[in-house]
Amino acid sequence: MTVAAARRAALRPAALLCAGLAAAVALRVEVAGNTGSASAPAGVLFGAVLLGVALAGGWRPARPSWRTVAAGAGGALVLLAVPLALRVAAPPVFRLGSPAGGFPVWAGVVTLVAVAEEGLLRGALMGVLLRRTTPELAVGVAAVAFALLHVPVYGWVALPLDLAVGVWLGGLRLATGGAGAPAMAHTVADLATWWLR
Amino acid sequence: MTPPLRLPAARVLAAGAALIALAWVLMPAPSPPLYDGLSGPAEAYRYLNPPAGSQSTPPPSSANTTLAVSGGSNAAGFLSTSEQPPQAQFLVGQGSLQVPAGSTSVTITVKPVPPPAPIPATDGRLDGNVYQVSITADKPGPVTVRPGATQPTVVLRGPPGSSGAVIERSTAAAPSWQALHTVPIGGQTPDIVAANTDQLGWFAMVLGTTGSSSTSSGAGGGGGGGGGGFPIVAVVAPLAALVLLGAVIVPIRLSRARAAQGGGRSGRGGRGSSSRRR
Repeated sequence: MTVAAARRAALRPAALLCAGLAAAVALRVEVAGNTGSASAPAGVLFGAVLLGVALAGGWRPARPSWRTVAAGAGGALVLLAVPLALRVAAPPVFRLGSPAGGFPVWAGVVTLVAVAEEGLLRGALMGVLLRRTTPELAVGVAAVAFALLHVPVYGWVALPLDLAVGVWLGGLRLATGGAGAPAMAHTVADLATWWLR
Repeated sequence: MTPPLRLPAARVLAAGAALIALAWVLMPAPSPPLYDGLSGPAEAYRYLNPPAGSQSTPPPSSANTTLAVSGGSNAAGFLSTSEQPPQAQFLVGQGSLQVPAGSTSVTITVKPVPPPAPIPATDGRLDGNVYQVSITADKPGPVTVRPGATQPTVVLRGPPGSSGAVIERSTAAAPSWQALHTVPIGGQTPDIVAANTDQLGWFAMVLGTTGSSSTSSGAGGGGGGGGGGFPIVAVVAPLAALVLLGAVIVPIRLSRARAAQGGGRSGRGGRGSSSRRR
């Protein structure tokens, strides 16, 4: 087997994970229809498929350590720094759009989606890539996948911010060695939209 | 789990924080929801009478809610139509309504209706639907806004490009349209505006109204991010991000230093390569 062939074989799991991610995104878009990201059923389905792909790809959730929790909390604060500043500068008076269902349902779906995305991207995908490429490349690939997966739902306008956030979450993954911290940061940042919108 | 890769992690985290700040600065006004909330971009505007060439949509929705009344004072309430985001919302504070004696509840209804009177061309053009806000009590008699009480608020979303529109009101007593002090909500949804009202009736967004009190200074940038938001995003927020970045990196460094002290040289130089070869 040549070196190139060996490398291709080694990266095949990463390609399969990306294919699984693409399929999950397509499924979400199809189920959501014109309700977009507001569809809770589509979010649940999306999260479940992602979790399945992540677990099939070898990711296993680990018990969070104090360091994971601290890094996740700090990571969330960085993600929320600008929205918090904007909120202080111009407090919203009105609800701009209520998500499907009440807060418990909304929070449950948001948490599922965030954790599933991190399990797949920062867990399974980066886990595979870190064994075969440089850390920077692993972060970059996962960040690009993270940004692209949101395009069908939020449009291209979301790409720059999601790419940047993907790099940040990848950094948390490198710093802590697992997907727990990025999952926590991601979840907290998403949940904060309930109060920050 | 893989071993933490602290040196590349610090670089990547620094790059990530800088990119986040940059993305927020460069992002256009109708920015996406934070990162992955369940609230997506606004759905297509639902017209009561769709103009030629407009996208086919379901009809606009109505909304109603019932508020308890105790001792002549109504409970605070909020209702919104079902579009995402809602095309019409109405907020009323506790005790803001004058209700018939003996009332125990009031029902608020918001519904799209044809204009009760044409909007004068000098005011501008109707932008979206006209919404009627009506309130009835469980006892006969009119329900009005209590003089001197906190005024209810009407929030309307218009079709894309409605930023700068003014809410105008028509009432049964004064059918001619009157511009209200209108505040753009701004932020992620630039086509939403709000106004307080001391009377119930019909409400519409009107584009092209000149003069009047269409915007409030420093309210968040109305149509595009405005001057007020820039310093916050460009200066304060990145600084805050860097401070918080330090809050993440410092514990990691301290932990690393402790590990180096306790474990001799075994951890040095092994960060990325050790992981790659696993």
